[in-house]
Amino acid sequence: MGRIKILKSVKKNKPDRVGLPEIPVFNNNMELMKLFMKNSLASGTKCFSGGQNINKIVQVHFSTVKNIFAPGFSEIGNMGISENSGVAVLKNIELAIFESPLGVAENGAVWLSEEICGHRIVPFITQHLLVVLSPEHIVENMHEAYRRAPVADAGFGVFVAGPSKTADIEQSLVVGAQGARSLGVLITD
Amino acid sequence: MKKHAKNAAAFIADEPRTDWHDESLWMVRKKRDKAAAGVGEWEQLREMASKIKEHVLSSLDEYLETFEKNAKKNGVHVHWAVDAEEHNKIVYGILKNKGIQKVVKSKSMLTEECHLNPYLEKNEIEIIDTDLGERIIQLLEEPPSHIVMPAIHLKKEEISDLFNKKLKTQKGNNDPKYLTEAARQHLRNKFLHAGAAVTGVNFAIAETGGVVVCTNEGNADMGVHAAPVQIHCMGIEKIIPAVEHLGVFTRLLARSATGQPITIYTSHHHRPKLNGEMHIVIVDNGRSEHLGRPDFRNALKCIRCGACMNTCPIYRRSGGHSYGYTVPGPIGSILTPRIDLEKYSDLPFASSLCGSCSDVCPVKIDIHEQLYKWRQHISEKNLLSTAKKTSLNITAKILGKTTLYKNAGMLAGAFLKVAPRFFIYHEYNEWGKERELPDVPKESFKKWYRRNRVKK
Repeated sequence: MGRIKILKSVKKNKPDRVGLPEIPVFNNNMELMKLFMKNSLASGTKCFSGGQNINKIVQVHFSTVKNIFAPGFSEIGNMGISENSGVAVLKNIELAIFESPLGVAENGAVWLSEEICGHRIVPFITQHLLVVLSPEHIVENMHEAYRRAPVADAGFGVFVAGPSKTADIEQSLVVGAQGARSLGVLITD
Repeated sequence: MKKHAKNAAAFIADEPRTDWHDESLWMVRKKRDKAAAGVGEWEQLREMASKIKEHVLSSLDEYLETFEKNAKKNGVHVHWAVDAEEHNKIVYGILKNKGIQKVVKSKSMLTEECHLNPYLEKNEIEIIDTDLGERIIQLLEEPPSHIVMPAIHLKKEEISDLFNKKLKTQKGNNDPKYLTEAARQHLRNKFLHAGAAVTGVNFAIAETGGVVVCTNEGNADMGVHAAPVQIHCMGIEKIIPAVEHLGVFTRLLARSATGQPITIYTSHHHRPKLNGEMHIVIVDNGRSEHLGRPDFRNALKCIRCGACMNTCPIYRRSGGHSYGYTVPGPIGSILTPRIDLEKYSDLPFASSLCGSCSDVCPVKIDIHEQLYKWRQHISEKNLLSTAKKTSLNITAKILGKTTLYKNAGMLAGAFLKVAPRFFIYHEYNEWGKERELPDVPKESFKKWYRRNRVKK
């Protein structure tokens, strides 16, 4: 069997045991919210801050959008989606709104999981993605982010750091490849 | 002439295009530099990443078993493949068992290495590459020319023509935005009708039994979450010990690859979706044997960022296809001889040994030193071309004797000044076929030094 053969060969050929290094705490005491917004912007994410209201943002920026999936915001969401809804329904989502428990200042990423989104595919299949984030939940870097993100508990979890993009044609940056065409982050007060 | 040199000669025949290719990649290299300089602890991270990988390689069998145990606990089916053929058979077996005929695939150098696509196509399964660059080259029926930017060698006009033929886009519309949108619509349709999705793996976490896949387009996620069956194919070297180590690698990967602080999507897959099936195929295909080569095993640390390609003066001016293997560039040149030393014996010579690749490598692989060691290995195995062997033998004799070297230098200088062109650039001078010698200086450095610096 392949398994035994591979493990045997690895065991035979591996070098002498070397220890695992400790990862120190990297903390540069940055202004986390400012850094988060700077890096989000650089990645093409639109940040909303300064006491803006989610209803208002939807009204102003997504006035033409019809199908909104917002499980945590019952006054905004208007799609009947259940646990058993398939991609035939989910593909119609134009705007999805979720609250994220974690943002990363060094790269503008936010954590989303199956538990938060209901369906794993929603943050990708939706045309636009809007995430609500408390400034207290912004950490400096990925080391801290991985200390907090429930990576193993989530059947699926993802760091999203901007709108879907590609530069596969002559290195020209194009936003809106296969995933969501835009990412907005509302930083609450 | 050996294969790489011949292919490179064809590539540089179009000079403006060569310059364009060179500059495109250098631009990415500059972005990488800027991103790296923005992280104060960058060098510390590289060192740590290298050490973590070293540790994993030294306990790889134990980590593989831990990974398997934890993945199974998560409800994942784990398969083991000794070689490419077994890998392809396993993937096909999963599909056949479920009666699946349509498959979408995100970028995976491993499945390229195993030639999964032709295998599945032979068995009448439709397999669609969903990364935009990969889809382009799939439609063109070409292999990728870069591991991160597979279609970096193509002009937008060529892609426009291709899409016009295959996806019915407007003729002559070369706008990358328009072309990307056309691909988006085409691929969305494929995602929604696929029975299974195949992905590569960036990192496999032993402690939790999950896999991490990084993309910018979101294509891996569209595929995996839309299809009932998800299959993740990984080489044995993708293992990392625990979640905390992702902190180190995710900080390094995208900055090294494209200069982004992180890929747009860093996806962590641990359990199958509701009513879904999740498979992981662990592939050896010569890796465990490579682990037994002390001089070369460090190559297994590679996280496939492509930084060594973007910086390489040879890669930038010869193109990925000139290497004739899935993974081109400096890292490809040290990985390929392990597969077939004779077939790829020219690749370790496709380098100026400038060391830039080692300088940018996020896991500190000693790439240029390995290139040098492979050369010695190849020469010991008597696999050098006659021309190279002869010239190296002569050079060795000259460099071995001071007087001989002095006289040869003087003679060559005098000769080159007066010799007619056909005397120097002829069919036996392989080196001179694509290169020009610099003008011979008026006097040698030795003479100059004696005149100006040696105290009289």
